[in-house]
This record gives sequence, C-alpha cells and structure tokens, in this order.
Amino acid sequence: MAKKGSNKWALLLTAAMLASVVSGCSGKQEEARQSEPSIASGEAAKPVAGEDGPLGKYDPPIELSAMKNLYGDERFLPGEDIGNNVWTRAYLEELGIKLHYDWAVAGDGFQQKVTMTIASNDLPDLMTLPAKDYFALAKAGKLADLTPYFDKYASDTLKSTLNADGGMQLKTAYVEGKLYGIPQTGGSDGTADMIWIRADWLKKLGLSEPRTLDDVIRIARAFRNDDPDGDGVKNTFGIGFQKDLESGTGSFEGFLAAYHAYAKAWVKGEDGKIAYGAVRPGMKEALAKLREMFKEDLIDVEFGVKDWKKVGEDIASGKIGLLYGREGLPWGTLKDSIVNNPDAEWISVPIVSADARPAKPATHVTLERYFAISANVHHPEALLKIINLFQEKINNKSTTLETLNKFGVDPDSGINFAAYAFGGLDPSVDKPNMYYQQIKSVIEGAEKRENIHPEAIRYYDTIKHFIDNGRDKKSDPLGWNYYKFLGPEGSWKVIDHYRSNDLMEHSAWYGLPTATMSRKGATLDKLQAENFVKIITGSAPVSDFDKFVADWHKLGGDQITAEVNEWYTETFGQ
Amino acid sequence: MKSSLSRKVFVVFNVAILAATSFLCLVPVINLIAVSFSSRSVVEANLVGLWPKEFTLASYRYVFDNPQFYKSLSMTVERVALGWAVNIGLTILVAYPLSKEKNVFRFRGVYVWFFLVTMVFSGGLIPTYLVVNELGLINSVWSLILPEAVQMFYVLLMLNFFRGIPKEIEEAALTDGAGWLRSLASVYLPLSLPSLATVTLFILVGHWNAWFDGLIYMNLPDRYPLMTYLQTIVTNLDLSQLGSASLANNPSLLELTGRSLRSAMIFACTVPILFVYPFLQRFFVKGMLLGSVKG
Repeated sequence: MAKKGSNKWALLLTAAMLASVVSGCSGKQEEARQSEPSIASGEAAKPVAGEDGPLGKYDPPIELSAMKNLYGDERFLPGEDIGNNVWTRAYLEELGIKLHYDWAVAGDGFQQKVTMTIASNDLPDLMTLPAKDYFALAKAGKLADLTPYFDKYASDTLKSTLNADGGMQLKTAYVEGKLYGIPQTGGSDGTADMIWIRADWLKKLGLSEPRTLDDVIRIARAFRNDDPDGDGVKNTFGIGFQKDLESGTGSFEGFLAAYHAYAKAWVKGEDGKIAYGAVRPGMKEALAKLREMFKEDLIDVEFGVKDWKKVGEDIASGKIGLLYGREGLPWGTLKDSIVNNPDAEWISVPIVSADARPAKPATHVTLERYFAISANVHHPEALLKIINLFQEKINNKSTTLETLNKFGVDPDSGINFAAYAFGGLDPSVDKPNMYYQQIKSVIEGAEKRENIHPEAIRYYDTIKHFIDNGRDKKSDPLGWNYYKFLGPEGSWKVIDHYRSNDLMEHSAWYGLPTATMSRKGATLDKLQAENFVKIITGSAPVSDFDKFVADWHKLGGDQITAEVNEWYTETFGQ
Repeated sequence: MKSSLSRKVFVVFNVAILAATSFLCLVPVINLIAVSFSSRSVVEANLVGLWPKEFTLASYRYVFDNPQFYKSLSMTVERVALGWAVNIGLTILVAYPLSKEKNVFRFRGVYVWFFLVTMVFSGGLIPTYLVVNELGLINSVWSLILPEAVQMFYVLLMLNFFRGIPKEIEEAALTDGAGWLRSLASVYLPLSLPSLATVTLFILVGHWNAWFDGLIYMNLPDRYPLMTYLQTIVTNLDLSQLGSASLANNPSLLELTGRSLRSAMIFACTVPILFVYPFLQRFFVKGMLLGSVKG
C-alpha cells in the first residue's frame, strides 16, 4: 500500500536518473548488433530463376521472424498454434519462407510490447506497427524501403485491394516520398450512421418511416408519450443517445448531420480547406434542437452518464425504439432485443435532413497499423510476397469455396484461420457492399447462386433459409442477424443508398495524430464533450457555443487545423 | 456478565449493521455468479439481479472447453508454487539478520538502507524489461518470479514479528550450543507460524493476481498465467472493435462479447485462490508466547 504510492515517485525519480545510463547502454548495444553479420535472412538464398514474381518461391527457404497482434481469443485445431497452422505451412510450401513469431499479443498489450521491443532493440524481421511507431522507425532508418520493389512484387490482387479507394490509404504510408510499409487497409462505409426504428411500434401508433428531422421528432414524441410497448407505464424513451460524441450505438453524429455539422469529422469545405466539424455553422442550431428535445423529455435524463453499453441495455430491454447507429447493430444489442422479445421488429432507414439539402453521414478511415520489414533483411520483397498470399487466397475474385474453407473460416470448427495470417488486409472499400448487391440479385433471380463470391454464397444460404422458414426470429436469431445485415432489407441497403447517391461525408483525417493533437487533443475533446452536454441538458445557455468555438480555436484548435491541412496536402496533393 | 438493556440494544444494532455491511460486500459477487449462469440476451438487457435468469451453463462450457484455460492455469500454479518458495525463503533469510541489534549485526544499518531503497525506488518499466531481457529470462517462468523475489514489505512484516519474540528464548538456545541457523530453524520459525501464514497469504494472492508481468515478459499467449489470459479476454474483446464484417465471418466471436462469459471467466479464475484462506486460518493462533519467559 505504501509501496503502491511510492512506485510513482520511483518512476519519476529513476526515470530522470536512469535516462542517461540507459540511452548510453542501448547505443553501445546497437553498434554491437550492427557489426554482427545478419543471419536472419539467409543470405545465400536466391529466388528460383524465371519464377521470381509476386509469389515466387525462395529455394532454399529463408527464415524470417515476426510479431503479431491478436484478437485475444484465438482458437486452434489440436496440435496447431500461432507458429504452426495452415498459413505458416503455406508460407513455407508456396513461398519458401519459414516464418516464426517472436511474440504475439492481444489488445492494449500490443502497444506495450511494441514499446518494449523498440526499447530493447529486438525488432523482428517482419513487423506489424502502430501508426506512430511506424513513422518513427521509418524516419530512423530501421525499415526497408519498399519503393523499388512495390511495382514488381505487389500482385494484381494486392494492388486492386489497395486501390479500391483510389489508393488514398496507401498514400499515407509514404515517408518523404518513400514507401516503408503497407497499411492495414479497411473500408470506411460501415462507419456511416443510419436510423434504427422499431417498426412494430410505428405500426401500433399509426406512424410512417421518417423523411425529415421533424418526422424523427414526431416519432420520438409518440414513442415517449403514447406507450408504444403497451404495458400501460410510461417507461420508454423517445430517442436513445449515449454520452460520448463518438459514432456508435445511440450516436449524435447522425442527428447532427441533419444540420450538416459533425461532432468528430474533419470536413473539406468548398474552399478546399479542411475544418473541424464541431465548430462549423449548423452545430449551434443542432444543439439548440437537442436542447428542446431534452426539455420536452424525449431524451433520457440520464443520457449524460450512459455509455454505449448502457444504452444497449435499454435497447435490449425494450425501452428504446429509435436511435442513430451503425450497420453492425443487428450483431449486438438489436439481436439481444429480438431474443428477449421476438415481437420486436427493427428496420434501418437513411438519416434525414433538417432542411432542403440532403443529410450526409460522416465516415471515418482509421489507419491503426502498418506492415513493414526490417532494413537488415536481404529480401525486403518477402513482406510483399507474404501479403500477396493472403490476397491470393482470400480477396482474389476467382477464389474458390474450397480455398476459403481452408484459409478462411473452417466450416467444421468455426475457427477463422484468416486471423492467423501475417499482413492480412481487406479492400479499402467494404466487402459487404459487394455481398449485399450479389445476394440481392440472386434473390431477385437476376443472378445464379453459383456465380457470386463464395463468401456471399454462405451468407445467401443463411438468409434464404431464414426467408423460406417464414422469417421466424425466435427459432433462428442468427438468420435474422444476417438478414438484417446483408439481406434485401438489411443495413447495407441503406449504405448502398448512401453510396449510389453520393451521400457520405468522408472525414479528411485518417486517425494519425498530429503533433499538437497528441499534446492537446484530449483536452479539446473534453472541452467539447462538456460544453455540448451542458448545452443539451440546459445547464448552460446555447450562446455558450460561441464561447466554446472561440476557446477551441485558441487552445490549440487552430494549430491542429493547420497541421491536418498540411498533412492532407502533403499526403494527397491538392 | 449480566446484560443490561443498553447492552442488548448495542448487540442488536451491532449485528444488524455488520450483517448489512457484509451483505453489501457480497451483493456484487452474487450478482456476478447470477450473471455467469444466465443467457446472454437477458444479461445484455440488464435484467439479472441476484438470481440467474434463463439458466444456462453455456458460458462455463465455453471457458472450460478452451485449452488455453488449462495451459494458463498450470502456468499460474507453477508460478505460485515456485514464487512462494523463493519469496518466503528469501524473506526469512533477509528478515532474520535484520531483526538483530546493532551490537550483534554490525552492518545492520547499511543493509536496512540497502533494502529500504527498493521500497521507494524501482527501475521503471522499460529498464526493468531490459534487465530481464538481457538476462535471457523472457518467456521463462522465472521472469515472473525473480524480479519480485524480495518484497521489502513482507520482510518488514517478518522482521517486526521476529523482534517481538523475547530475546531470552534465543539466548537459551545459543547457550545450549545452537548456531544462528539452528536458532532460526528451531526457535524462530516454529514460533512465527502466524506471521509466516500472513506472508504466505500475501505471496500466494499476489502471485495469483499478477497479470502485467505475464503480458510483457511472455511472448506468446500460450505461456500467459491465468490472470493475464483473463485480462486479455475481459478487457480486449469489444464488439465495436471487432467490426461487423469479421463477425459475419465468425459469429462465435459474438458470444465472447457478452458480460455473461466474462463473469464466468472471472468466477472460474477466482475460486481456486479462495480455498487458500480456510487452510491458512488455523495458523492464526494467539498466545503462543505466553509463559515462555519467567522472572
């Protein structure tokens, strides 16, 4: 107890004392290491003549060490582990690369372990790096320059995966014009908010789907006051909101978009300059509207202390029938809601606008990790080959169901083997976009089942089974799940609507903290959250918003805006 | 003793207040157990109180079906056993000489400061990691034991207890020809069972509950002690992070995100250490020294 308290002191004091000693040590160590001949990459190995290409095999095999981040609940077939599975065998048999993991860790521990590894100068050959460490190591010359290898060794599938968004995410990986790693790309369409409503409540109260923000408020009023669950008690909320200003279950982002303002997105204005969404015009009106709704008792008075999990409990227990949220909700609380009460009927509709201009939901790209290879390795192209193999097996348009079962989800055990691969990355436009369209066209009879993507076939079968069995939620909640997700009435229908009508506001910032953001971002976020909640709950006047805008600019917002603009121009050009 | 009215009132209130307090302490545990035996959907709707609803063993089946649970359990047992032996042995060997007066042990002052410094200062996370790394202990069970081999807090406990034992007993032993080690083994240790039991309890619970060292010193989850494994499950799996596309690929992940499973994990990881308490109870004896020294 006394010890706990003193530890902090100890850290502070000894950090100062030891800093010099430690840096001295590691410097020496580094010299020693560099003078050692590198044995890691099997110098003698030469690619087989004539076969050298994106998937060319090394003979004799080369050995590479690696590090990996995990989900936290990897399961394996008997006798297998992270260093011995279908992927490591494929690396050896198909590419001639003997891959072994120095370490692998899940969740928050990953960043800790990366910091330790860098501090002890024990970097493995193949690295999965958090964005911040990727840029630091690239600038320090620890990573191999992939620029000369990319064109020759990146396979067509990999190139099309990375170019699905016009190569935007790939461009973030360049440091001073050179490519040191491949970003773990992913789609951003799935981050768009939509409105989720209990259709059974709408029907009971004689209401129709919302087309404008006034409709939404009218529905909220009815859900609060007209006892939609029919238990005679006023125990339902008008509309569900959570305390945090992030998009998610009970998100504000979709509501604010009705006024063309955004709590978290960086929006490119007509003048070509990027500005923070929360200080844009429109936000004041949006907050005033929320304040009105709060006063009218349409919002849970306790929303200021409820996070998305708590709001989820209200949804699952049938107290909330209207909220803003993302496409994944059928996987979470909505599913719990229909299991608890099979009469619940959820539908998703596009967000609505407060004026004549259509509302655009914000979408976010969050680049968390980059795959890179050590500068000491003699075959930097090995990284690209390993990433190619994942693309070849999983994302290749002509991949077969057999391959997917072997390298993806095992139908017998339900284990997702793809999680064991090093450098697995998905196209920067979400796969569900394609699956939704393919499943829809098969259901409508315009396409044959055999012709669509094998993964889509699997989802189609589940959805078809659910439809054919009379859409019985009670006996087949998982079927309902897929139906509401990728089915003809699923959440991806709404995203398809956004996509085909150009209704998405892509946040111009990709989640890589700028210098000022690292220092002052947390303070500014707190300032924003406090001010917004106070204005909504009526404990501060609406005019405080102007003060917040001034404070935000003054306390570092201006600097961050300049940095974001600079980063954007540097990375993407004009 | 005749009980007056005021005494009776006191007893009633005393019992009532203490019972209420202990009930308040038990409620979260009972709720945890109830949640662990309930189905996912009722738990997510926050409908479970002190009794399970829609009783199911699914969460426990998941916990006990996972081979990692047993790997981690054996790792923890190994570290607790080795860690106890190392900790208690070194604690005794450090505490005994330090409990002597300065005229018996001349450099006592120097050594006391030597050890006290470790209570106030530590190397810090990264330097400690570097030392463990350079010693080649990474991924070995010893990385969980050696960095914390001597805990000065335990030493102080033992030291003060040793000082409470009358000097005359040891003098008698020395007069009869015993050496220092013999005196420690035959006189001090048998008389110190209560404090040995206390320190043992601290050591066992400390090693059982430690998770952070496992996270940074073990390279692969295979070698995680139970609490590190528990920590990765309980804090890392977050539906919003997994993303719906990976869920569609692998719906079984969905089960993991429930509070029901987490509760079952927490309960399964806590029960074994609870059994230690009754076994150590019998060593807490009073009055062992009564009548040992006369005159």
